[in-house]
Amino acid sequence: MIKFNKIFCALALLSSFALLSGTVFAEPEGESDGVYACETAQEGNDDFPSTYIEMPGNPDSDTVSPDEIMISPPYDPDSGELPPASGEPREMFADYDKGDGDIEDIREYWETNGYPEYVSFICDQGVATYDVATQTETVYHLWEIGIADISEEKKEEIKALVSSEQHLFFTPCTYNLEERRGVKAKIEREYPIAEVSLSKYGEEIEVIISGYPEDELEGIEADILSAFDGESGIIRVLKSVPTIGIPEIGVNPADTEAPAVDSSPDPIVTEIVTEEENFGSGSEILPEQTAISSAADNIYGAEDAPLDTPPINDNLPDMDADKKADIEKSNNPEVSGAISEIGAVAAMINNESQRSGEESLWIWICAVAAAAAAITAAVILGRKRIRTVSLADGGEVSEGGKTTKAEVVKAVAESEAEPSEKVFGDIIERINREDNL
Amino acid sequence: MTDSELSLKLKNVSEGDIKAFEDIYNDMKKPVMTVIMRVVGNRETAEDLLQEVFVKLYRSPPKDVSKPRAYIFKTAGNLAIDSLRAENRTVSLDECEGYIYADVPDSGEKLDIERALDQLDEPKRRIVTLHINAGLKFREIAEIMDIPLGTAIWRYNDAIKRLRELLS
Repeated sequence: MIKFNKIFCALALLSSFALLSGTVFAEPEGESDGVYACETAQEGNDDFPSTYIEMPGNPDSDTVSPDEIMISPPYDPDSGELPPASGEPREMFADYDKGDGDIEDIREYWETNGYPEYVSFICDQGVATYDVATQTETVYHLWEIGIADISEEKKEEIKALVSSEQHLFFTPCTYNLEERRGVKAKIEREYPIAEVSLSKYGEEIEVIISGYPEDELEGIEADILSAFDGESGIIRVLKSVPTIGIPEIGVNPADTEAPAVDSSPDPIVTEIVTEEENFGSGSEILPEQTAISSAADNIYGAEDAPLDTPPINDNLPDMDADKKADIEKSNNPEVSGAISEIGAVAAMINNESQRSGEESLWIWICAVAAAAAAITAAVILGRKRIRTVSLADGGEVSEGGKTTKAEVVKAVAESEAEPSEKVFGDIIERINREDNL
Repeated sequence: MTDSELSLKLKNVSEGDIKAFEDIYNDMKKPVMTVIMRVVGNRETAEDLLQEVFVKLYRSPPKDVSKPRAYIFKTAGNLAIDSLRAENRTVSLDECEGYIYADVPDSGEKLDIERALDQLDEPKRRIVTLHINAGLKFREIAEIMDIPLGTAIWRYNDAIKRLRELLS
């Protein structure tokens, strides 16, 4: 445990030096340009997950009738022949002659060779079951295919490609994938700093508009929706708003140093909590210091603690001081044995306390080192950022660091050109002259 | 002067009210001059064009225009660009800085910002000027310059980023 603390301390010091050596000096591009908070989390950017613990919520799946969830006709992997479909197979399907009729293979094929013009998206909405008795997990794949043309002919074309073990269902969509990609490209072209993503679990197009002035966000949202979406509701615009209450190292407008906040949970504590969540109330949560020690020992290996050491709580006698004194006065050998046992337990507690004291000392050293580094960094940053040079015209510019956006705007605003005083007279004279003509 | 106040003044101008015209001129002479200057880069030409803008405004004040400020800046910008095209030349900053800052005792910083602005391309320079000096919203700027709103905002942000680099 002490080794672990030493390593932790060394890492803390190293990171502190890294902090001081310039990493933290990298100023984010644009003070208000980042995405700070959105109305909802962006989804659909991950790769297709292989398994699911539970069925992801999908509004579209509720609209699918049960008869659309069907089992596909058989596919002969030996011959590579496609089973007869209700319509003529598309040209792009004709050269699909490999694989075993797995929809995953077909999806990859489409990714490489292009999607059929009526497909909007394809994803696995599978579920997984877990048998506690046998401790086995079974995954059921349930493929959702969004198609812009929901006709039976198109469904059959896709069903004909997969084996009977593949579970498919179809979701009607307004736009196919190419149209969605086209819309994405168009939005990206016109709003270059917007983040546009196509959902893989629906036909929605999500646009995150950030980095724009707050008073323009409504206008931009309306512009995007009116230009590309209109009534269908396919495009979802998420507007970013300036962050509130997330301090950063540096100097805020009130010239007070904001504290450096590390909100990430301690990994050891996280593990304990996770263990409790996983195993329910039956798992025992030990007292704080012991729990941390035990958890750390479990992770990193306890060199000096015997594996068969019983939990301390089990050995703690539940008695008051008077009773203990009475027992000590007794000459009964059983009582003497009990006293010896109590003494051994007390010694163990003392050892444990000593160890805890050493660990606490290391934790305090680490904490003080980290705090000192953070304060030093904040002071250096603060000095770097607020030091200014006064100009003859009363303005100020930064002496060190990058010129801020506010300084640029101020400089531009103050660089106004003023016409000479005779201009207005010339205008009036010209008007009068032309009137006389 | 707000758009509604400006509309009212323009209405008075259309009825021959010279005082209202002078009020408008005094309120808008600096930003309009700045917008023109940033395009043509020559003070003398800019003042001539400023005259043009206000004579035109007096002769035919805009009616039923929801955003008269934007209208005036659009007129100024168009005249400036037409002038530049007619002359078919660009003017260096050195040529005009003596005119602009002749009466400023210590113009080092202003000169820096002008030099930095000169590094921007004309549309970005105009967007920065229209937004900061003329006080127009991006939507108005987009309409004036006939570009998408997103492009206007992106160009502005890009210009500011570039200016920050140049001035640092």
